[in-house]
Amino acid sequence: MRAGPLLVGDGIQNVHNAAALLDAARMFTSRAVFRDRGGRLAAAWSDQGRSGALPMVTTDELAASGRVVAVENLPGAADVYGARLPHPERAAVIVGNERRGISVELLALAHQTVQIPMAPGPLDSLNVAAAAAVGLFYLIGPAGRGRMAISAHPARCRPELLLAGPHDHVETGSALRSAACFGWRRVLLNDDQHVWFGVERQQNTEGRAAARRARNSIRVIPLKEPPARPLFDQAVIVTPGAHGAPLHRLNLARGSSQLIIVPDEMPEDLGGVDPIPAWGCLARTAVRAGLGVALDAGACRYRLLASVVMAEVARQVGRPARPRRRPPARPAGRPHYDSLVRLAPTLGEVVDLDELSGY
Amino acid sequence: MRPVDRADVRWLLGRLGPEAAYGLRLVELAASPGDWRRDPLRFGRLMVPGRIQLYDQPKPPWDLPASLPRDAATRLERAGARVHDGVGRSTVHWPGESLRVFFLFDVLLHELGHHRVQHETGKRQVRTMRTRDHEQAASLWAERWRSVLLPWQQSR
Repeated sequence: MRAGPLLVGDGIQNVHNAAALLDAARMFTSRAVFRDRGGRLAAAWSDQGRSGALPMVTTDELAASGRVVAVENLPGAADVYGARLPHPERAAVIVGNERRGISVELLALAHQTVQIPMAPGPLDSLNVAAAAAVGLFYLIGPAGRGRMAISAHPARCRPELLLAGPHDHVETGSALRSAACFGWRRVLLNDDQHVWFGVERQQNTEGRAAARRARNSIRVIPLKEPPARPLFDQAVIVTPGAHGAPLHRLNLARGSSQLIIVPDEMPEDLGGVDPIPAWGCLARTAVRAGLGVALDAGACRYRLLASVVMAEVARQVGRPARPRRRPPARPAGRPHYDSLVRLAPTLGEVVDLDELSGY
Repeated sequence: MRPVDRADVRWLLGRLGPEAAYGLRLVELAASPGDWRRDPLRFGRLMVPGRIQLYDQPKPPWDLPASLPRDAATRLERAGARVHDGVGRSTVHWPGESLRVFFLFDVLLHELGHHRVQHETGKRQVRTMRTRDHEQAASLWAERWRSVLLPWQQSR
């Protein structure tokens, strides 16, 4: 895999998000740097006793780099699906602050702004590291990951999703947030690591906060034991390595008879076991799919992997065609034509000098 | 005040001939619609088919609450008005017969131009072209007649 673009976290506040961004960069053989104007992120990073110093970048350094792409949900921004970086090694991809997004200063610097299409609903943004992973996956991926499909009934094409055995409650919460953002109304969760159901108060709070549970109404259905007979026609088991077909080559829009399984297991390339025996029994047929990202045991965070998989499914499921713009309606009644003079718009308010001196 | 009267309109229509007035039903000297100081300043209107309204105007000088764009000021000055542009306000003086000239040879000719465009296409009660094109065609027609009726204006 060739070197990826520079990943820039602009104004990131949360140390955990900064760590997740470093992992997202490693996942795509990129390098993550941060723009931290107040020095708060660096201070928080060292306060938490994290090893090493966070790599920083200034606006001037960024301006001197090659092509700059901002990942931000702005009106008029192009979809990340179908967008490609011709020379990723000479480019920078920016993601923004958790609440405020990318600063105006960096947006002005960007040559291109792309957005990750979200399903309509109360949640309209992914976790910043998840957004970075999705952005990098499409921007530096091979040709063939095309544009978002147009579908008359996207809900009918949406497969079921199983989050299989996640090891961390925050990663699970973030994955559930991504699922809601990409339009799932329900998700199956195999919680054999006991990170989501019936956990301690603090773990429960952190997990639900990561899932934005106050606004995220997604139904989380526990899947405790494998069923006696297959529930689905096809199961697609996605792992980060290169085992199996490339994800974008598979049809992931077969509707509710298809199950997409995202296991949180060590890839086989790093000594893990084949996931087919464990999860294949859920469907009549099971196929393997690989993301083909860099295999690094520490970098494959569950939220990143799951978000990329969901983004690809959402791309294939598609969205309804945008209604055509109708030409503006002609004024009702018979036409009339005026002879008139328009006054120039007045900028500000005119104040007499006498009035001003009196004041 | 009424910038023109019935005799002025008759005189102009007589000069233009029956072809220009063909299909014209009414030229109405009407009260100004709403507050005249409000943007935009309305002088006249063609209501399809064949009804032209010329609106009453305040006594000059006109003290306007905003400045006039350059092209609008040029249009008024062509008829003899004197436009004084201040900061955020402007004053328009109409010396002598200039307001009458403006209404006859600019406003009324322009509305008659619209009428001709509408009438000649044969579609008398519906929109025959885009408004911008309609305005351009009416201005051209009025300009052509101005060069006949007021040849000295062209040499200015």
